[in-house]
Amino acid sequence: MNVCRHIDELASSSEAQAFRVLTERLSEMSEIEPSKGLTSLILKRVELESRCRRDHLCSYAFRPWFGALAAAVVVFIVLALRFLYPASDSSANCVLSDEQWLADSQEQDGSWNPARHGGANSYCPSLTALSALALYRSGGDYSDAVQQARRYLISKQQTNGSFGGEGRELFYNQAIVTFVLAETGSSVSAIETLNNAVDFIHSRQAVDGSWGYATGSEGSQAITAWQVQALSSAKKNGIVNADVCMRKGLRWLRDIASSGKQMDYNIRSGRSSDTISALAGYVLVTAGSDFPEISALGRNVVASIKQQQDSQNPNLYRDCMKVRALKAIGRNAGAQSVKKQMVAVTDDIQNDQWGKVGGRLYYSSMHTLARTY
Amino acid sequence: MNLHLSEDEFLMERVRDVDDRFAFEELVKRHQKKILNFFYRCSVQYGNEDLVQQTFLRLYRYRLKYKRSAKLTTFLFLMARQVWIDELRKRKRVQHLKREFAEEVVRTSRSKTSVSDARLDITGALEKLSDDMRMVVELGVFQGLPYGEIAEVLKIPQGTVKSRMFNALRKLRGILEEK
Repeated sequence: MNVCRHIDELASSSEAQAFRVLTERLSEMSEIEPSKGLTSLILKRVELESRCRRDHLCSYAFRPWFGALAAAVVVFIVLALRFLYPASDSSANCVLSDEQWLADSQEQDGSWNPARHGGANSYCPSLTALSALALYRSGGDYSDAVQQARRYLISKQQTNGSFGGEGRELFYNQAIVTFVLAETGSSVSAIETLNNAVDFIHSRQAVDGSWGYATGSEGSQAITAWQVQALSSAKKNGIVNADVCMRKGLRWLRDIASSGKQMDYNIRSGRSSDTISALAGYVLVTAGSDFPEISALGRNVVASIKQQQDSQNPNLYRDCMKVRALKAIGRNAGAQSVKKQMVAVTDDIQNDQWGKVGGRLYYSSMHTLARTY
Repeated sequence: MNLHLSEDEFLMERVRDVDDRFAFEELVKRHQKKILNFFYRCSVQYGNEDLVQQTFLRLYRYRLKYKRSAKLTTFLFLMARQVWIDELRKRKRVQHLKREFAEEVVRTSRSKTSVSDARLDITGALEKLSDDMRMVVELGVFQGLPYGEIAEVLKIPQGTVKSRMFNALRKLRGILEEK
């Protein structure tokens, strides 16, 4: 119900007509324009506010009594947990439980249901694909589960070639599902699905070769790296259409990396994200392997990522991407060290940046995948 | 699939989830004019840009409370309405500000001699509506929100939105016909 429909519903037609004329007159009233500097003033106020809040929090952190109290609470919790749950699991047992848990939690139709495990349903295609990839790469006997997941994903493709979702979900779902279908085997139906998926990715590519969080928005390194990765895998499966748009995307990533801009979710942030450096660096190294200059650039990007754990910000996606990228450039010791740190992160899904998006499916797939690299 | 419909909500999620300033800037650019005119039509003749700033600051502060189930415009107008209520309270507390405000309105009205009489008639008629009625007209007619969303913003039943809109339109019609 809106005002037009409301007026249409009025019993008196003369009154309805008078109201229509009146609302038209109101709508025609001229509007004022914001001054040119309003946007930057608002952004400055927000920046000032968030800086003040950070400073405020820091001032608490440095108070000795607060630090001592926090340390005492942490020690108490650790001791209590050790008492309640003695550490008996070896890391081999953990491997088994992650994979086994994934296999056990697959739905009848072949999907994994994120809502049941603390994730967001809009990412069901991505999480189903990642869970299937984890089982596929684990080396265990999960071929039935993987095939069932593939059939589910193929059945979910829409007539325009997409795998569903809106905005960023659409682009993540599209790239991750395409990548996983290409990586986990080939069949006639999968080839047709891949062809359609690639055509959809191609249709959403910007003129400069990038992809953004929404159609027509500014290019994003994260989204572009994922699409290039998907196209590269599809190309290896004989999808000819993937080649040209993959090269365009690769060139865009190369230009970003060689211009000295930081790798982040946002091109303009000026910050550097280890996740995106690892993802984009890996893509430059692998998808750009036919071009020595691009591959070398990718190695530099990967070499720039920090290997030490950021314990304040648990992020298994970042760590998994780091392991894969470091392994790809032969830094095995670095990859091993990140893996060890990942094992230490056990139940911190709530604080993980992607925990609310993927829940335990994300947590188990990332753990399993990282071990396979 | 309509991507445009979801873009605001997607950007707001970026602001909420990863404190994405670029997404926030985009939202400011898209909606600042709408919010500015909201305050302008609420008879704020001066300082309305400051209220726009406060609205977006509030949107940023409350970003963690945003849920995708709510349309961003609903959420944003909730913030704007709260800013407007705070502003009214402030004005009531400081009585002399009210006087200054009245003088300001007179001054701005005088300076509007170039504006057409018809527009002045409508502005004058809108000013004669009660705050409750004017808010319904603002959100329903000027911002084009459906009644369900207006009800959410004003925290009143949809039936009340309907009756307020009917009474407001009838009153406006009467005022304009008198002139």
